[in-house]
Amino acid sequence: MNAIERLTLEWIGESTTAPDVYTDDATGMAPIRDSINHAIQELCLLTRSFVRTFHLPMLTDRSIYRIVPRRDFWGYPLEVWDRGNHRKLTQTSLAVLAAHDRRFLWRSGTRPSEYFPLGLSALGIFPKPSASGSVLEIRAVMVPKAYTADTDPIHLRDAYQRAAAWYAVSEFCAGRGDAKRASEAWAQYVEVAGLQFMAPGQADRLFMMGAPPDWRRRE
Amino acid sequence: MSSFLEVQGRIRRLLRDPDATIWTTEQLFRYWQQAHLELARRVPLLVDARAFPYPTRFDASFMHPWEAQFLEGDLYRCWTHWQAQDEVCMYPWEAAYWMADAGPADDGIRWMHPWEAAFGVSAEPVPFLIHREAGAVRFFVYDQEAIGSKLESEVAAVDGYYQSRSGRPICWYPIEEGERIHALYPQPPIVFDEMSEGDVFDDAGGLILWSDGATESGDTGLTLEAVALEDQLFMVYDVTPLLWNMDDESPYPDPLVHYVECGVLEWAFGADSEGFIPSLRDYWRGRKEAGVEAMKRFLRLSLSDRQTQMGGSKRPRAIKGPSMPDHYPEP
Repeated sequence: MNAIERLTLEWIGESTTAPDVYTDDATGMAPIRDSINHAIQELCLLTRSFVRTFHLPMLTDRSIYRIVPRRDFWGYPLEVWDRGNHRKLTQTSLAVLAAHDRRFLWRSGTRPSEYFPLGLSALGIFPKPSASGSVLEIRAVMVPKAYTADTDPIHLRDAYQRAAAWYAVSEFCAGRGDAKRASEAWAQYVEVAGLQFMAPGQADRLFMMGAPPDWRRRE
Repeated sequence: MSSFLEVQGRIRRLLRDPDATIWTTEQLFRYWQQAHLELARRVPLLVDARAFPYPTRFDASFMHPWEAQFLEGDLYRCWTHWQAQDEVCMYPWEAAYWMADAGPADDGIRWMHPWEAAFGVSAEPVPFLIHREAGAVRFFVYDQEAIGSKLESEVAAVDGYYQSRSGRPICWYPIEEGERIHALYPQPPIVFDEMSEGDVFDDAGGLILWSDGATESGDTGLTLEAVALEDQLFMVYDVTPLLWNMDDESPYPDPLVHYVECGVLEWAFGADSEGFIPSLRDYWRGRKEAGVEAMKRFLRLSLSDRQTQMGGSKRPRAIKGPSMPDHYPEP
Protein backbone atom coordinates (compact mmCIF):
# COMPACT_ATOMS: atom_id res chain seq x y z
CA MET A 1 0.00 0.00 0.00
CA ASN A 2 1.20 3.52 -0.65
CA ALA A 3 1.46 6.37 1.81
CA ILE A 4 -2.03 7.74 1.22
CA GLU A 5 -3.64 4.33 1.64
CA ARG A 6 -1.66 3.72 4.81
CA LEU A 7 -2.73 7.06 6.24
CA THR A 8 -6.36 6.36 5.39
CA LEU A 9 -6.32 2.97 7.06
CA GLU A 10 -4.79 4.46 10.18
CA TRP A 11 -7.47 7.11 10.41
CA ILE A 12 -10.33 4.65 9.98
CA GLY A 13 -8.87 2.36 12.62
CA GLU A 14 -7.73 -0.45 10.36
CA SER A 15 -4.42 -2.17 10.98
CA THR A 16 -1.82 -1.29 8.39
CA THR A 17 0.37 -4.33 9.08
CA ALA A 18 -2.38 -7.00 9.10
CA PRO A 19 -5.61 -5.42 7.82
CA ASP A 20 -8.80 -7.41 8.30
CA VAL A 21 -11.13 -5.87 5.74
CA TYR A 22 -9.02 -3.71 3.42
CA THR A 23 -6.31 -6.22 2.67
CA ASP A 24 -3.21 -5.13 0.82
CA ASP A 25 -4.20 -6.40 -2.60
CA ALA A 26 -6.16 -5.12 -5.56
CA THR A 27 -9.50 -6.50 -4.40
CA GLY A 28 -9.27 -5.62 -0.75
CA MET A 29 -7.96 -2.14 -1.29
CA ALA A 30 -10.34 -1.35 -4.18
CA PRO A 31 -12.90 0.75 -2.20
CA ILE A 32 -10.19 2.84 -0.54
CA ARG A 33 -8.27 3.14 -3.76
CA ASP A 34 -11.45 4.24 -5.54
CA SER A 35 -11.96 7.14 -3.15
CA ILE A 36 -8.33 8.16 -3.23
CA ASN A 37 -8.39 8.20 -7.01
CA HIS A 38 -11.39 10.51 -6.99
CA ALA A 39 -9.60 12.79 -4.56
CA ILE A 40 -6.49 12.86 -6.70
CA GLN A 41 -8.48 13.65 -9.80
CA GLU A 42 -10.42 16.42 -8.11
CA LEU A 43 -7.29 17.98 -6.67
CA CYS A 44 -5.47 17.82 -10.00
CA LEU A 45 -8.49 19.37 -11.67
CA LEU A 46 -8.36 22.38 -9.38
CA THR A 47 -4.73 22.86 -8.36
CA ARG A 48 -2.67 22.38 -11.53
CA SER A 49 -0.81 19.51 -9.88
CA PHE A 50 -0.34 17.49 -13.03
CA VAL A 51 1.00 19.24 -16.09
CA ARG A 52 2.20 17.48 -19.22
CA THR A 53 3.66 18.58 -22.53
CA PHE A 54 2.26 17.39 -25.83
CA HIS A 55 3.48 17.86 -29.36
CA LEU A 56 0.82 18.67 -31.92
CA PRO A 57 1.94 18.22 -35.53
CA MET A 58 -0.08 20.49 -37.77
CA LEU A 59 -1.58 19.56 -41.10
CA THR A 60 -2.06 21.70 -44.19
CA ASP A 61 -5.26 23.77 -44.04
CA ARG A 62 -6.46 22.18 -40.80
CA SER A 63 -7.29 24.55 -37.98
CA ILE A 64 -9.29 22.37 -35.55
CA TYR A 65 -7.66 19.45 -33.77
CA ARG A 66 -9.15 17.03 -31.30
CA ILE A 67 -6.69 15.74 -28.71
CA VAL A 68 -7.63 12.60 -26.83
CA PRO A 69 -4.93 11.19 -24.54
CA ARG A 70 -5.43 7.50 -23.97
CA ARG A 71 -3.79 7.37 -20.57
CA ASP A 72 -5.02 10.48 -18.78
CA PHE A 73 -7.70 13.15 -19.21
CA TRP A 74 -7.18 16.42 -20.98
CA GLY A 75 -7.83 19.47 -18.80
CA TYR A 76 -6.92 22.72 -20.51
CA PRO A 77 -3.87 24.22 -22.22
CA LEU A 78 -1.56 26.43 -20.20
CA GLU A 79 0.87 27.41 -22.88
CA VAL A 80 1.27 26.77 -26.60
CA TRP A 81 4.70 27.28 -28.04
CA ASP A 82 5.76 27.27 -31.68
CA ARG A 83 9.24 25.83 -31.59
CA GLY A 84 9.98 26.39 -35.24
CA ASN A 85 9.16 30.09 -35.14
CA HIS A 86 10.35 30.60 -31.55
CA ARG A 87 7.27 32.30 -30.26
CA LYS A 88 4.36 31.69 -27.98
CA LEU A 89 0.80 31.64 -29.20
CA THR A 90 -1.75 33.76 -27.38
CA GLN A 91 -5.12 32.42 -26.32
CA THR A 92 -8.22 33.78 -27.95
CA SER A 93 -11.77 32.60 -28.58
CA LEU A 94 -14.04 31.93 -31.51
CA ALA A 95 -16.18 34.95 -30.71
CA VAL A 96 -13.22 37.35 -30.76
CA LEU A 97 -11.88 35.96 -34.02
CA ALA A 98 -15.29 35.93 -35.68
CA ALA A 99 -15.97 39.50 -34.59
CA HIS A 100 -12.73 40.56 -36.19
CA ASP A 101 -13.23 38.61 -39.40
CA ARG A 102 -16.01 36.07 -39.92
CA ARG A 103 -13.90 34.33 -42.55
CA PHE A 104 -10.98 33.83 -40.20
CA LEU A 105 -11.05 30.09 -40.88
CA TRP A 106 -10.05 30.75 -44.48
CA ARG A 107 -6.84 32.47 -43.51
CA SER A 108 -3.69 30.44 -43.62
CA GLY A 109 -0.09 31.20 -42.87
CA THR A 110 3.27 29.80 -41.97
CA ARG A 111 3.32 31.24 -38.46
CA PRO A 112 0.33 30.49 -36.24
CA SER A 113 -0.25 33.32 -33.80
CA GLU A 114 -3.25 32.31 -31.69
CA TYR A 115 -5.07 29.30 -30.38
CA PHE A 116 -8.58 28.83 -29.04
CA PRO A 117 -9.75 25.93 -26.87
CA LEU A 118 -13.02 24.26 -27.85
CA GLY A 119 -14.94 22.21 -25.34
CA LEU A 120 -13.19 19.55 -23.32
CA SER A 121 -10.84 18.11 -25.92
CA ALA A 122 -10.51 20.25 -29.05
CA LEU A 123 -8.10 23.02 -29.93
CA GLY A 124 -8.15 25.49 -32.78
CA ILE A 125 -5.19 27.27 -34.37
CA PHE A 126 -5.26 30.64 -36.13
CA PRO A 127 -4.26 31.11 -38.86
CA LYS A 128 -4.39 27.56 -40.13
CA PRO A 129 -1.04 26.25 -41.36
CA SER A 130 -0.39 26.54 -45.10
CA ALA A 131 1.94 23.56 -45.00
CA SER A 132 2.33 20.47 -42.85
CA GLY A 133 5.31 19.77 -40.71
CA SER A 134 5.36 22.42 -38.03
CA VAL A 135 4.85 21.25 -34.48
CA LEU A 136 3.30 23.04 -31.54
CA GLU A 137 4.43 22.30 -28.03
CA ILE A 138 1.44 22.38 -25.71
CA ARG A 139 1.76 22.43 -21.94
CA ALA A 140 -1.56 21.32 -20.55
CA VAL A 141 -3.12 20.66 -17.20
CA MET A 142 -4.10 17.01 -17.09
CA VAL A 143 -6.12 14.80 -14.81
CA PRO A 144 -4.46 11.45 -14.18
CA LYS A 145 -6.31 8.25 -14.79
CA ALA A 146 -7.03 6.11 -11.76
CA TYR A 147 -4.08 4.13 -10.45
CA THR A 148 -4.66 0.41 -9.89
CA ALA A 149 -1.51 -0.82 -8.16
CA ASP A 150 0.32 0.59 -5.19
CA THR A 151 3.46 0.80 -7.29
CA ASP A 152 1.79 3.19 -9.76
CA PRO A 153 3.00 6.78 -9.51
CA ILE A 154 0.77 9.26 -7.68
CA HIS A 155 0.47 12.46 -9.67
CA LEU A 156 -0.28 14.69 -6.74
CA ARG A 157 1.81 17.18 -4.86
CA ASP A 158 2.90 16.03 -1.40
CA ALA A 159 1.04 18.93 0.19
CA TYR A 160 -2.27 17.47 -0.98
CA GLN A 161 -1.74 13.85 -0.08
CA ARG A 162 -3.12 14.26 3.44
CA ALA A 163 -6.17 15.90 1.93
CA ALA A 164 -6.70 12.87 -0.31
CA ALA A 165 -6.60 10.64 2.77
CA TRP A 166 -9.29 12.76 4.49
CA TYR A 167 -11.42 12.46 1.34
CA ALA A 168 -11.19 8.69 1.50
CA VAL A 169 -12.04 8.70 5.21
CA SER A 170 -15.11 10.80 4.48
CA GLU A 171 -16.38 8.36 1.86
CA PHE A 172 -15.62 5.43 4.15
CA CYS A 173 -17.76 6.97 6.89
CA ALA A 174 -20.54 7.79 4.43
CA GLY A 175 -20.43 4.20 3.19
CA ARG A 176 -20.98 3.03 6.77
CA GLY A 177 -23.93 5.39 7.18
CA ASP A 178 -22.19 7.81 9.55
CA ALA A 179 -23.06 11.12 7.93
CA LYS A 180 -21.80 13.19 10.87
CA ARG A 181 -18.27 11.79 10.80
CA ALA A 182 -18.31 11.87 7.01
CA SER A 183 -19.10 15.58 7.07
CA GLU A 184 -16.35 16.23 9.62
CA ALA A 185 -13.82 14.37 7.52
CA TRP A 186 -14.98 16.23 4.42
CA ALA A 187 -14.47 19.54 6.20
CA GLN A 188 -10.93 18.43 7.04
CA TYR A 189 -10.33 17.59 3.39
CA VAL A 190 -11.49 21.03 2.30
CA GLU A 191 -9.38 22.69 4.99
CA VAL A 192 -6.19 20.79 4.25
CA ALA A 193 -6.51 21.19 0.49
CA GLY A 194 -7.33 24.88 0.78
CA LEU A 195 -10.49 24.52 -1.30
CA GLN A 196 -12.78 26.56 0.90
CA PHE A 197 -14.67 27.82 -2.14
CA MET A 198 -16.32 24.38 -2.31
CA ALA A 199 -17.76 24.78 1.16
CA PRO A 200 -18.86 28.39 1.54
CA GLY A 201 -19.54 27.96 5.24
CA GLN A 202 -15.83 27.41 5.77
CA ALA A 203 -14.89 30.57 3.92
CA ASP A 204 -17.33 32.70 5.86
CA ARG A 205 -15.53 32.29 9.14
CA LEU A 206 -14.36 35.48 10.77
CA PHE A 207 -10.98 35.35 12.46
CA MET A 208 -9.93 37.61 15.30
CA MET A 209 -6.98 37.75 17.63
CA GLY A 210 -7.85 36.79 21.20
CA ALA A 211 -11.34 37.64 22.45
CA PRO A 212 -12.87 40.69 24.11
CA PRO A 213 -12.76 40.28 27.92
CA ASP A 214 -16.49 40.72 28.23
CA TRP A 215 -17.62 38.66 25.25
CA ARG A 216 -20.08 36.70 27.35
CA ARG A 217 -23.48 38.32 27.32
CA ARG A 218 -24.20 39.85 30.65
CA GLU A 219 -27.09 38.28 32.44
CA MET B 1 -16.32 7.72 -20.19
CA SER B 2 -18.23 5.47 -17.82
CA SER B 3 -21.68 4.07 -18.26
CA PHE B 4 -24.26 3.49 -15.54
CA LEU B 5 -23.57 -0.23 -15.55
CA GLU B 6 -19.89 0.41 -14.82
CA VAL B 7 -20.50 2.68 -11.83
CA GLN B 8 -23.53 0.88 -10.43
CA GLY B 9 -21.38 -1.32 -8.22
CA ARG B 10 -19.76 1.63 -6.52
CA ILE B 11 -23.09 3.43 -6.07
CA ARG B 12 -24.63 0.35 -4.47
CA ARG B 13 -21.66 -0.02 -2.16
CA LEU B 14 -22.17 3.52 -0.90
CA LEU B 15 -25.91 2.86 -0.61
CA ARG B 16 -25.16 -0.37 1.29
CA ASP B 17 -27.68 -2.08 -0.97
CA PRO B 18 -25.65 -4.53 -3.09
CA ASP B 19 -28.57 -6.83 -3.79
CA ALA B 20 -31.04 -4.14 -4.94
CA THR B 21 -33.25 -4.78 -1.94
CA ILE B 22 -34.32 -1.17 -1.47
CA TRP B 23 -33.47 0.61 -4.73
CA THR B 24 -34.04 -1.14 -8.02
CA THR B 25 -31.67 -0.76 -10.91
CA GLU B 26 -34.28 1.14 -12.90
CA GLN B 27 -34.73 3.62 -10.06
CA LEU B 28 -31.04 4.28 -9.83
CA PHE B 29 -30.80 4.69 -13.60
CA ARG B 30 -33.56 7.32 -13.50
CA TYR B 31 -31.63 9.20 -10.85
CA TRP B 32 -28.53 8.84 -13.01
CA GLN B 33 -30.34 10.47 -15.92
CA GLN B 34 -31.70 13.26 -13.73
CA ALA B 35 -28.32 13.97 -12.17
CA HIS B 36 -26.80 14.32 -15.62
CA LEU B 37 -29.45 16.79 -16.72
CA GLU B 38 -29.13 18.80 -13.53
CA LEU B 39 -25.36 19.12 -13.74
CA ALA B 40 -25.46 19.97 -17.44
CA ARG B 41 -28.02 22.68 -16.76
CA ARG B 42 -26.14 24.20 -13.85
CA VAL B 43 -22.61 24.12 -15.27
CA PRO B 44 -22.17 24.65 -19.04
CA LEU B 45 -19.11 22.45 -19.15
CA LEU B 46 -20.21 19.98 -21.79
CA VAL B 47 -19.35 21.68 -25.03
CA ASP B 48 -18.76 19.75 -28.21
CA ALA B 49 -17.22 20.87 -31.49
CA ARG B 50 -18.08 18.71 -34.51
CA ALA B 51 -18.18 18.82 -38.27
CA PHE B 52 -21.21 17.49 -40.12
CA PRO B 53 -21.71 16.83 -43.81
CA TYR B 54 -24.08 19.03 -45.79
CA PRO B 55 -26.74 18.05 -46.57
CA THR B 56 -27.42 15.61 -43.77
CA ARG B 57 -27.39 12.00 -44.85
CA PHE B 58 -30.69 10.83 -43.48
CA ASP B 59 -31.20 7.14 -42.90
CA ALA B 60 -34.62 7.15 -44.54
CA SER B 61 -37.27 9.42 -45.99
CA PHE B 62 -40.96 8.79 -45.48
CA MET B 63 -44.21 10.33 -46.67
CA HIS B 64 -46.98 9.26 -44.30
CA PRO B 65 -46.68 9.53 -40.50
CA TRP B 66 -47.48 5.86 -39.95
CA GLU B 67 -44.34 4.85 -41.85
CA ALA B 68 -42.04 6.25 -39.15
CA GLN B 69 -42.81 3.48 -36.69
CA PHE B 70 -41.19 0.96 -39.03
CA LEU B 71 -38.01 2.96 -39.53
CA GLU B 72 -34.94 3.72 -37.47
CA GLY B 73 -32.32 6.41 -37.40
CA ASP B 74 -32.48 9.99 -38.68
CA LEU B 75 -35.69 10.29 -40.68
CA TYR B 76 -36.87 12.94 -43.10
CA ARG B 77 -40.49 13.55 -43.94
CA CYS B 78 -40.59 14.50 -47.57
CA TRP B 79 -43.24 16.17 -49.71
CA THR B 80 -46.50 17.58 -48.45
CA HIS B 81 -49.52 15.93 -46.96
CA TRP B 82 -52.55 17.21 -48.84
CA GLN B 83 -55.22 17.11 -46.18
CA ALA B 84 -58.18 17.46 -48.58
CA GLN B 85 -57.52 14.11 -50.21
CA ASP B 86 -55.39 12.54 -47.47
CA GLU B 87 -52.70 12.10 -50.06
CA VAL B 88 -49.11 13.15 -50.43
CA CYS B 89 -48.22 15.50 -53.26
CA MET B 90 -44.91 16.83 -54.46
CA TYR B 91 -45.79 20.07 -56.22
CA PRO B 92 -48.31 22.75 -55.21
CA TRP B 93 -50.03 22.55 -58.61
CA GLU B 94 -51.18 19.02 -57.77
CA ALA B 95 -53.66 20.43 -55.29
CA ALA B 96 -55.25 22.42 -58.15
CA TYR B 97 -55.13 19.51 -60.63
CA TRP B 98 -58.90 19.09 -60.75
CA MET B 99 -59.51 22.76 -61.36
CA ALA B 100 -59.66 24.50 -64.67
CA ASP B 101 -56.55 26.59 -63.99
CA ALA B 102 -53.12 25.13 -64.42
CA GLY B 103 -52.00 25.91 -60.88
CA PRO B 104 -48.87 27.75 -59.73
CA ALA B 105 -45.55 27.06 -61.39
CA ASP B 106 -42.88 25.82 -59.05
CA ASP B 107 -39.45 27.33 -58.54
CA GLY B 108 -37.44 24.19 -59.12
CA ILE B 109 -37.29 20.49 -58.51
CA ARG B 110 -38.72 18.57 -55.60
CA TRP B 111 -36.93 15.60 -54.16
CA MET B 112 -37.37 12.75 -51.76
CA HIS B 113 -33.86 12.64 -50.34
CA PRO B 114 -32.02 15.91 -49.71
CA TRP B 115 -28.93 14.84 -51.66
CA GLU B 116 -31.03 14.83 -54.83
CA ALA B 117 -30.99 18.62 -54.68
CA ALA B 118 -27.47 18.44 -56.10
CA PHE B 119 -28.93 17.71 -59.51
CA GLY B 120 -31.07 20.81 -60.01
CA VAL B 121 -32.41 24.01 -58.53
CA SER B 122 -34.30 22.97 -55.43
CA ALA B 123 -37.73 24.48 -54.91
CA GLU B 124 -37.59 23.87 -51.17
CA PRO B 125 -34.90 24.39 -48.53
CA VAL B 126 -32.35 21.62 -48.30
CA PRO B 127 -32.40 20.51 -44.67
CA PHE B 128 -29.67 19.61 -42.26
CA LEU B 129 -30.01 18.10 -38.80
CA ILE B 130 -28.68 19.49 -35.57
CA HIS B 131 -27.22 16.80 -33.35
CA ARG B 132 -29.75 15.12 -31.09
CA GLU B 133 -27.86 16.16 -27.96
CA ALA B 134 -27.24 19.74 -29.07
CA GLY B 135 -28.60 22.40 -26.77
CA ALA B 136 -27.64 25.99 -27.50
CA VAL B 137 -25.45 26.39 -30.57
CA ARG B 138 -22.61 28.71 -29.65
CA PHE B 139 -20.88 28.93 -32.99
CA PHE B 140 -21.87 27.90 -36.50
CA VAL B 141 -19.67 27.67 -39.56
CA TYR B 142 -20.38 26.68 -43.12
CA ASP B 143 -17.42 26.12 -45.40
CA GLN B 144 -15.08 27.92 -43.00
CA GLU B 145 -17.24 31.03 -42.74
CA ALA B 146 -19.04 31.91 -39.53
CA ILE B 147 -22.74 32.67 -39.97
CA GLY B 148 -25.51 33.59 -37.56
CA SER B 149 -29.01 32.27 -36.97
CA LYS B 150 -32.33 33.84 -37.91
CA LEU B 151 -35.96 32.88 -37.69
CA GLU B 152 -37.64 31.69 -40.85
CA SER B 153 -40.06 34.60 -40.61
CA GLU B 154 -37.17 37.05 -40.58
CA VAL B 155 -35.70 35.50 -43.70
CA ALA B 156 -39.08 35.38 -45.45
CA ALA B 157 -39.68 39.04 -44.66
CA VAL B 158 -36.51 39.96 -46.52
CA ASP B 159 -36.73 37.60 -49.48
CA GLY B 160 -39.90 36.06 -50.90
CA TYR B 161 -37.81 33.54 -52.85
CA TYR B 162 -35.86 32.45 -49.78
CA GLN B 163 -36.79 28.79 -50.19
CA SER B 164 -35.12 28.46 -53.57
CA ARG B 165 -32.50 31.21 -53.43
CA SER B 166 -29.01 29.89 -54.06
CA GLY B 167 -25.70 31.46 -53.20
CA ARG B 168 -23.22 31.68 -50.36
CA PRO B 169 -25.01 31.21 -47.01
CA ILE B 170 -25.32 34.21 -44.76
CA CYS B 171 -27.51 32.70 -42.06
CA TRP B 172 -29.23 29.50 -40.94
CA TYR B 173 -32.79 29.08 -39.68
CA PRO B 174 -35.05 26.36 -38.26
CA ILE B 175 -37.50 24.85 -40.69
CA GLU B 176 -39.65 23.47 -37.91
CA GLU B 177 -39.84 25.21 -34.55
CA GLY B 178 -38.61 22.99 -31.77
CA GLU B 179 -37.30 20.35 -34.19
CA ARG B 180 -33.78 19.62 -35.20
CA ILE B 181 -34.26 20.35 -38.91
CA HIS B 182 -32.68 23.57 -40.16
CA ALA B 183 -31.72 25.12 -43.47
CA LEU B 184 -29.18 27.56 -44.86
CA TYR B 185 -30.06 30.80 -46.57
CA PRO B 186 -29.20 31.16 -49.38
CA GLN B 187 -28.67 27.52 -50.29
CA PRO B 188 -25.11 26.69 -51.24
CA PRO B 189 -24.30 24.32 -54.09
CA ILE B 190 -24.14 20.75 -52.86
CA VAL B 191 -20.71 19.22 -53.19
CA PHE B 192 -20.39 15.48 -53.28
CA ASP B 193 -17.07 14.20 -52.02
CA GLU B 194 -16.53 10.52 -52.58
CA MET B 195 -15.14 8.97 -49.43
CA SER B 196 -11.68 7.70 -50.23
CA GLU B 197 -9.90 4.98 -48.35
CA GLY B 198 -8.63 6.43 -45.13
CA ASP B 199 -11.39 8.99 -44.74
CA VAL B 200 -13.70 7.98 -41.97
CA PHE B 201 -16.76 9.73 -40.73
CA ASP B 202 -16.77 9.15 -37.01
CA ASP B 203 -19.16 10.30 -34.37
CA ALA B 204 -16.26 11.28 -32.18
CA GLY B 205 -14.91 14.06 -34.29
CA GLY B 206 -16.64 14.68 -37.55
CA LEU B 207 -14.58 13.94 -40.61
CA ILE B 208 -11.30 12.47 -39.47
CA LEU B 209 -8.58 13.09 -41.97
CA TRP B 210 -5.70 11.77 -39.99
CA SER B 211 -5.45 9.83 -36.80
CA ASP B 212 -2.21 8.96 -35.10
CA GLY B 213 -0.87 7.72 -31.87
CA ALA B 214 -3.23 5.00 -30.69
CA THR B 215 -1.23 1.88 -29.89
CA GLU B 216 -2.48 -1.67 -29.74
CA SER B 217 -2.54 -1.69 -25.97
CA GLY B 218 -5.32 0.85 -25.96
CA ASP B 219 -4.21 2.51 -22.77
CA THR B 220 -1.23 4.52 -23.91
CA GLY B 221 -0.62 7.02 -26.63
CA LEU B 222 -2.48 9.99 -27.92
CA THR B 223 -5.15 10.18 -30.59
CA LEU B 224 -5.07 13.29 -32.71
CA GLU B 225 -7.85 14.07 -35.12
CA ALA B 226 -7.94 16.94 -37.57
CA VAL B 227 -11.42 18.17 -38.36
CA ALA B 228 -12.22 18.98 -41.98
CA LEU B 229 -14.26 22.13 -42.53
CA GLU B 230 -14.42 22.61 -46.31
CA ASP B 231 -18.00 22.48 -47.61
CA GLN B 232 -19.10 21.12 -44.27
CA LEU B 233 -21.04 22.42 -41.34
CA PHE B 234 -19.09 22.97 -38.15
CA MET B 235 -20.85 23.64 -34.88
CA VAL B 236 -19.83 24.33 -31.35
CA TYR B 237 -22.76 23.57 -29.09
CA ASP B 238 -23.75 22.83 -25.51
CA VAL B 239 -24.43 19.15 -24.97
CA THR B 240 -27.63 18.00 -23.31
CA PRO B 241 -26.79 14.53 -22.00
CA LEU B 242 -29.43 12.10 -23.22
CA LEU B 243 -28.81 8.64 -21.85
CA TRP B 244 -31.45 6.21 -23.02
CA ASN B 245 -29.79 2.92 -22.17
CA MET B 246 -27.87 1.77 -19.15
CA ASP B 247 -24.80 1.06 -21.24
CA ASP B 248 -24.75 4.54 -22.80
CA GLU B 249 -21.49 6.25 -21.94
CA SER B 250 -21.72 9.39 -19.87
CA PRO B 251 -20.59 12.53 -21.76
CA TYR B 252 -18.68 13.55 -18.65
CA PRO B 253 -15.10 12.31 -18.40
CA ASP B 254 -14.42 9.92 -15.51
CA PRO B 255 -13.08 12.57 -13.09
CA LEU B 256 -16.43 14.39 -13.31
CA VAL B 257 -18.68 11.32 -13.26
CA HIS B 258 -18.20 11.21 -9.51
CA TYR B 259 -20.30 14.35 -9.16
CA VAL B 260 -23.07 12.60 -11.03
CA GLU B 261 -22.77 9.74 -8.55
CA CYS B 262 -23.21 12.23 -5.70
CA GLY B 263 -26.41 13.40 -7.33
CA VAL B 264 -27.65 9.81 -7.65
CA LEU B 265 -26.90 9.15 -3.98
CA GLU B 266 -28.67 12.34 -2.93
CA TRP B 267 -31.77 11.32 -4.86
CA ALA B 268 -31.64 7.76 -3.53
CA PHE B 269 -31.32 8.73 0.14
CA GLY B 270 -33.92 11.44 -0.29
CA ALA B 271 -36.56 9.31 -2.01
CA ASP B 272 -39.64 8.40 -0.02
CA SER B 273 -38.72 4.77 0.43
CA GLU B 274 -37.30 2.44 3.06
CA GLY B 275 -33.90 3.89 2.32
CA PHE B 276 -34.84 7.45 3.27
CA ILE B 277 -31.98 8.78 5.42
CA PRO B 278 -32.05 12.60 5.57
CA SER B 279 -28.56 12.95 7.08
CA LEU B 280 -26.96 11.01 4.24
CA ARG B 281 -29.14 12.82 1.74
CA ASP B 282 -27.80 16.12 3.06
CA TYR B 283 -24.24 14.85 3.04
CA TRP B 284 -24.35 13.76 -0.59
CA ARG B 285 -26.20 16.92 -1.53
CA GLY B 286 -23.33 18.87 -0.01
CA ARG B 287 -20.86 16.78 -1.97
CA LYS B 288 -22.80 17.38 -5.15
CA GLU B 289 -22.92 21.14 -4.54
CA ALA B 290 -19.19 21.10 -3.87
CA GLY B 291 -18.79 19.27 -7.15
CA VAL B 292 -20.79 21.96 -8.95
CA GLU B 293 -18.50 24.60 -7.48
CA ALA B 294 -15.47 22.54 -8.51
CA MET B 295 -16.74 22.28 -12.08
CA LYS B 296 -17.38 26.03 -12.21
CA ARG B 297 -13.89 26.67 -10.89
CA PHE B 298 -12.44 24.30 -13.50
CA LEU B 299 -14.36 26.12 -16.23
CA ARG B 300 -13.00 29.47 -15.04
CA LEU B 301 -9.48 28.11 -14.82
CA SER B 302 -9.66 26.69 -18.32
CA LEU B 303 -10.33 30.21 -19.61
CA SER B 304 -8.04 32.19 -17.36
CA ASP B 305 -5.25 29.96 -16.10
CA ARG B 306 -2.38 30.26 -18.52
CA GLN B 307 1.08 31.68 -18.82
CA THR B 308 0.58 35.33 -19.65
CA GLN B 309 2.95 37.90 -21.03
CA MET B 310 2.80 41.58 -21.84
CA GLY B 311 1.96 42.33 -25.42
CA GLY B 312 1.56 39.45 -27.82
CA SER B 313 1.73 38.47 -31.43
CA LYS B 314 0.13 40.79 -33.91
CA ARG B 315 -3.04 39.53 -35.48
CA PRO B 316 -3.03 39.63 -39.30
CA ARG B 317 -5.02 42.60 -40.53
CA ALA B 318 -8.56 41.54 -41.33
CA ILE B 319 -10.27 42.41 -44.56
CA LYS B 320 -12.93 44.95 -43.76
CA GLY B 321 -15.83 46.14 -45.83
CA PRO B 322 -17.88 44.31 -48.48
CA SER B 323 -16.56 40.99 -49.62
CA MET B 324 -15.92 39.99 -53.20
CA PRO B 325 -18.58 38.10 -55.20
CA ASP B 326 -18.60 34.33 -54.91
CA HIS B 327 -16.93 33.69 -58.26
CA TYR B 328 -13.83 35.67 -57.34
CA PRO B 329 -10.84 33.71 -56.04
CA GLU B 330 -10.76 33.25 -52.29
CA PRO B 331 -8.37 35.52 -50.39
